[in-house]
Parts: sequence; C-alpha cells; structure tokens
Amino acid sequence: MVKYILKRLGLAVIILLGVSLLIYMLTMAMPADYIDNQTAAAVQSGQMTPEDVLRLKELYGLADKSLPGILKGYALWFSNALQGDLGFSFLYGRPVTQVIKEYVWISFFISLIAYVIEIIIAIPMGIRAAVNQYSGYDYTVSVFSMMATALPSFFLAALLMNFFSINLGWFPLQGLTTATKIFHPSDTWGILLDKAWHLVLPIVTLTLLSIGGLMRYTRTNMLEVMNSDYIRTARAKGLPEKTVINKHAFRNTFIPLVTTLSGLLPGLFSGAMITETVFSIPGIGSMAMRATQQGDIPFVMGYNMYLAILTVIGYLISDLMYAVVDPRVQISK
Amino acid sequence: MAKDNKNTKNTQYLTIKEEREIAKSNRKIMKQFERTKNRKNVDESEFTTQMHDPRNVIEIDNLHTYFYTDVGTTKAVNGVSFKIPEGKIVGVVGESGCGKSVTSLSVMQLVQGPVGQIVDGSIRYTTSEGKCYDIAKMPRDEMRRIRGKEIAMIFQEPMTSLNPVFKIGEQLDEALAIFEPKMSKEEVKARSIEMLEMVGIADQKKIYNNYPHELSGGMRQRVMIAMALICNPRLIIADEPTTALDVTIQAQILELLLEVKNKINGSIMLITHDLGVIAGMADYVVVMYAGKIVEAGDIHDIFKNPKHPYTVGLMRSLPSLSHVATGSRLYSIPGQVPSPVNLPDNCYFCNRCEYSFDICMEQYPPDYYFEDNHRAACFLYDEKYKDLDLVKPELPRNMADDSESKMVRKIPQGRVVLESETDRFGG
Ligand SMILES: Nc1ncnc2c1ncn2[C@@H]1O[C@H](COP(=O)(O)OP(=O)(O)O)[C@@H](O)[C@H]1O
Ligand code: SF4
Ligand SMILES: [Mg+2]
Repeated sequence: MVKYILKRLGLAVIILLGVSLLIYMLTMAMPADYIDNQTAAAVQSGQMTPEDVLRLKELYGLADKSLPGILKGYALWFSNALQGDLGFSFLYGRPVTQVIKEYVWISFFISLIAYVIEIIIAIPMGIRAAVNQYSGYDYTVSVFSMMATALPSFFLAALLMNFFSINLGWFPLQGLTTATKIFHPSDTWGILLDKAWHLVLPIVTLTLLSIGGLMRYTRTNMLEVMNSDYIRTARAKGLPEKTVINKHAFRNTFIPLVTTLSGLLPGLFSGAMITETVFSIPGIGSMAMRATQQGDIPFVMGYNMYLAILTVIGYLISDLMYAVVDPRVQISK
Repeated sequence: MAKDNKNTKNTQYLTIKEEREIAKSNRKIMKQFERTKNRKNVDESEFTTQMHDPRNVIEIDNLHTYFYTDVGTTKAVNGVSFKIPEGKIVGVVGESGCGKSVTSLSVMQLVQGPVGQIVDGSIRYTTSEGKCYDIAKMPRDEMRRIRGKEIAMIFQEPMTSLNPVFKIGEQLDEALAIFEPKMSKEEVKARSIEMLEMVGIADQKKIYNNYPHELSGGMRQRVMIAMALICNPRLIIADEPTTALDVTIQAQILELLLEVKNKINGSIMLITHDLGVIAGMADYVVVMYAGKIVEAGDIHDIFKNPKHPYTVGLMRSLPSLSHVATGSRLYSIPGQVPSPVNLPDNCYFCNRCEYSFDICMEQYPPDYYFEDNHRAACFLYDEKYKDLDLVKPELPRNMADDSESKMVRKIPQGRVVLESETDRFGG
C-alpha cells in the first residue's frame, strides 16, 4: 500500500515537471506580456520609450524570449519552486503562495456547498431516472440536465443575475458585501448573513452547471447495473424491488460514484474562474483570471502548478477509494 | 393482440419514417403492458385459475413473449405449450436463439422489460399452499410469492450471476431471510452453511465469508444451486447451467442437480442446447425452434423414434463414439435459425430442411400426435400426404439402436445413481 502510494507520487512528480515546463513555455509565448500590458498606454502617449520598456522587461526577466532564454528562466523558476518559493506576483505585488492562501477559502466554501447540493440532488434523480427508464420523469430530467450542462457558465450566470437580481431583486448582483450597509464589527452574524446572501447565486450557478453531468453519470451507471445478471438473480431470489434497487443495484453504482466524486474533492480548492469573475467574488479563480489576462507569469505558473497538484492528488484519492469500496480491487503493487 | 409491424414488408432495411412509426406504436404497447403489470392491490381472483391436470407442477399454455424492439416485434416465444409433471425433469433443447431462455424467464416474470412482454397465453402454477395462479397475469408485486420460494432459477453464467460486492454468505442469507422472517440471524447462517455443504462445498465456513470473485466458475455455480434450493422450491429452472463450465465440472454439476432434486423432491426444467445433457437427465423432452415447439415427448420416444427433421438433425450433429470410430465428419444442420422478426407464414425450418415439400412453403404445420403424447409439428406426418410416399427422417443405423445411452454425456467418477439410470430410461 505504502509502496503503491510512493510509486504514484513518484509518477506525479514527473508529470508535474512536464506540466510546469509546458505552462512556462506557453505563458512566455503569449504575444503581450505583463510589461507590454502595463506600459502600452505610456508608450502610446510618449511618456515611455521602447528602451524604457526593454529595461523594465530585463528587470522582470521577460526580455529574452529565445528558447535557451525561456529554458534558463524556467530553470530559475524551478529551482526556486523546489524550495517552496513560487515567486512574487507581478500584479498583486506579494508572494504567490500568500495570495493563493488568502483567496482560496472563499472559493473552497462556494465549491463545497455546490458540491454537496449537487450530490444530494443529482444522485437520487439519476437513480430514479434509470429505474424508470423511458418514463416521462426520465425524459424530463435528462433534457433539463443536458440543457444546464450545455449552457456556458457566464451565460447561465448572466441569466440568473438578470432574473433574480435585476428583475426580482431577491439577491445582490455582485460582490461579497453590501457596500451601502455598514455593520458594526461585533455584528458577526450580520456580516456572515450578508456574505451568504451574496453567495447564493454563485452557488446556484455552480450547482446547476455540474448537476446534469453527475445525474447522467449516475443514470448511465445505474442502467448498466440494472441490466446485469446479478440483478436478475436478486429478483429471481424473490427480493422486493426496493431491496433490489437500493441494496444490490445501488451498492454497485456506488463504486464509480464514490471514486469519481472523491477524486473531485481536491478540485474544490481550485476556484471557479468564470463564475467568480462574473459575480465579482474575490476568490482564487477570479484572481487567476486577472493574472492570466495581465500576463502575470509568476502567478499563472504558481496557480497552474497548484491546480496540477490538486489534480494529481484527486487521481490518487480516486484510485485509493477503489480499493476501499470495491472488494475486487486490491492494491498490492 | 399486439399489433404486428407488418408495414416492414420483406425489406431488410427500414426507412426513418417506418422506424419512427415502430417506435411510436411500441411505446404505446409497452406502456399498456407495464401499467397492467404495475397495478397494486389487484384482486386475487384476477390471476387465480385451475390446473388442467393436478399432477403437473406447471402448465405453460400457448405462451407468447415478444420484444418490441426498434426494428420490429421479435417473437421470441411464439405459442409454446408444455407441462412439467411433479417430480420430473423436462429438458428443453434447441439451438441458440430459439427462445429457450425467454420461455424460462417468462415463467419467473423476469423478461427484460419494458421491451420484453408476455403478450398472450397462460402459465398455470400451483403453490405449496395449494393455490393455483396464472403467472402470465400476475401483477409484479405478487410475483414475490412465487420467485425463490416456489420456483427458483439457476442461470447460465455463474461468473456474472452473483453480486460482486457482497459476500457469498450474505447473498445466501438474504434469500432465506425474506421468506423466514422469524428465523434468527444465527439460524439463517447455519442453514446457509448447511446448504453449501449440501451442494458439495467442502470448506463451507470459509466460502461463506468469501466474495464471488474469489471462487471458480464451478464453485460459483454450486453456490447458485445452493441459493436456488435454500427455500425448498418445488420447481427449479436451470438455464444452461453447465454451458459456461469445463466438461469435467459440467458432469459434476449435473450430477449434483440430480442429487438435490431427489432430496427436495422437486421438478426441474432443464434448458440446454446439448442433447447429450438431456439424454442423461430428462424424463420428457421439448424441442424448440424459432420460438415454437417443433417436437415434444417422452425421452424414449424422442431418442428412439424422433419425428421432426430438426430433432433428427440435432441428434446427428451430436458427437458420439461412432464418429471417432469411423473417422467420419461431424454433421451440422446447414443454415441458421431465422430472425424472429418478420417470421414467414410457412414452416420456419423449411429453408434448412432436407425433407421439405410443397405444402411446407405455404403454411406453418400443426401438431401431429403419435403414441404417448409424442407430438411433432411437421407435414410429413399428415395423413393427407400419405400417398406421396414421403421419405421420413431417420437416425443413422448405428445411432438408432439404443441411441440415448450412446448420447449420454458420461458422468465420470462418483455417479451414485448408476442403477437408477437403467430404470429411469427403461433399460
Ligand atoms: N432483451 C432482449 N431484447 C430483444 N430481443 C431479445 C432479448 N432477449 C432475447 N431476445 C430475442 O429472443 C430470441 C430468443 O432468445 P433466447 O431465449 O435467449 O434464446 P436461447 O434459446 O438461446 O436461450 C433471440 O432471437 C433474441 O433476439
Ligand atoms: S414441415 Fe416440411 S419443412 Fe417443416 S420440418 Fe416438416 S418436412 Fe421440413
Ligand atoms: Mg439462452
């Protein structure tokens, strides 16, 4: 078991190495870098000369965009990263790790709640749709979930904002706090409630976006299980249909569900770029969005490495969960 | 009853419009059947009936089971009638795709819905409490009175028929626990272990705590048999119980079936495509072809004096010692079973039959009866065509004398009931 995990971690390091090199090269290859973005206006108005810009670029390590130059830059970044130093964000002017640490929690909170709601709603729906295949319920749920999955997140968010904030005025449009209200610092509940109020629509957006996929995944797996021989055996034994579905069928559908869903857990820390940006939630996702737009290489690198690590951990959890929930799987190597 | 999709004519390919029409009419039909089956609190009189002969355990009468697929209606079982007398083994033979499994699943109401439906006919069964039900008309809820406790089933695929995530013991226990709610957990467990012992599993206590994937195919089939027998059913349906197993294991499992049948004094419906298995086990034989019974009768009549060209073909294609001795090639019936969608109006076997003549192409033959309820659906035996001097199918000389004993899959070592073999088959 320990050996298996070590082996997987070793593999992960190699993957991360490749991924980081790729991302570094891609960000360096972006046509307009951070300095270009920052100085464009000044250059245009003649306040800065191209020589000034070049000097700045050298200062930021962005001047040499030849392959050896990029590789050299990467090597520097890498040796620092090994020591846990992801560098300073150009944009935020602070260490990347510090920015991530500060903004990750709000993202995690939103994602976690959406994840829980998604599970609570989608799994029973998927099971019911599978058990009543071809019924009105099955068709309705499938069409609805497909629609929700197919909508782009910014569009769905805009729809919700338009309807619930602008037309109905039930929820605030954007942000995390009501700017016009002043809370006494000791009014913890008031502040929390106000924040929660702001988070309703983002959470609804995230839930709606993911619910269809999970529902269809549950339905597909359940259908496959329901058609298997051992379900026929369970019925032939004379078990009540409820036991057949809730015990025999669900326990088997449970395996892919648990492994997939547990594999998604680390992803809850990764933030939702688009949704957070649309709702102006100061989460890690919207921070990364801005950094990417501005060509903030240290932050983009740091954030992407962080994502890659989360993904690798997700796979590892998913694999280990197989051994937990499926008696046929034994991790020995 | 069900609307046949005749609009498909003779073409193999359907237009999109035709396909949509089929799907639409299918949905309507399936919904109707499902609704009838799912009704709750149905009055018992609706599915109570009378046996025609009280000595039978089950009487299947004019059974029709169809599948409403997107390419048309598959008449998997198309008017099947036979009965199983108490304490007897009835063998059902036929090539793959002849509707044997669907017949047996119909008896358990386990046909895969909503596509598959029992469309017509009756399945009369008398429970151990003396009540006679028509299974074809039973609502789904009521079927639990029958499944497991009255009729148990053993399936072809032992590898996939046990739930992979539960231990053997758990799967055995729950079968018993539903019918014996008063038994304590320990009693149930004791009985499960006893059953495992009865089916010849030596290390019962260990196997009880094993998962299915830890057992071999033969062991799993033993477990399936134990599970089927645990509630003392009166009828066991064994659908090709040995097809997926090695030859040596096959013999052991068949022997075990015979043994337990005698112990619980039940009846068996033994489905197989292997006449050799039937020869060693059955009292009566039913030969199925394309969803219909083409010949049925006592085991001696079928083996000594087969009437239907299909039955004779099946026997000739059985490997026997004589083939080895003479070095002759193994016979196989040319052609294939016709697709059960769009069956023709003539004898379904006529395109493969060496004996076919004019009338065979025009209509489906009725049943012709011989001595002892031996029947065959073949025009060769119609009095009307007596003058034509038709050649009737016959077994080759070397097979005809004492054919069943030649065909018996020799059950190797340890066959305890050797003497009874002679009296079973009348020596
Ligand atoms: N679930 C199903 N859906 C559609 N057709 C089916 C289904 N099960 C069986 N059939 C059809 O019924 C016919 C009889 O099948 P079956 O009873 O399994 O044959 P066998 O005699 O080999 O047991 C086959 O031609 C098959 O096409
Ligand atoms: S009815 Fe005709 S075609 Fe059919 S089996 Fe008999 S002889 Fe052959
Ligand atoms: Mg079959």
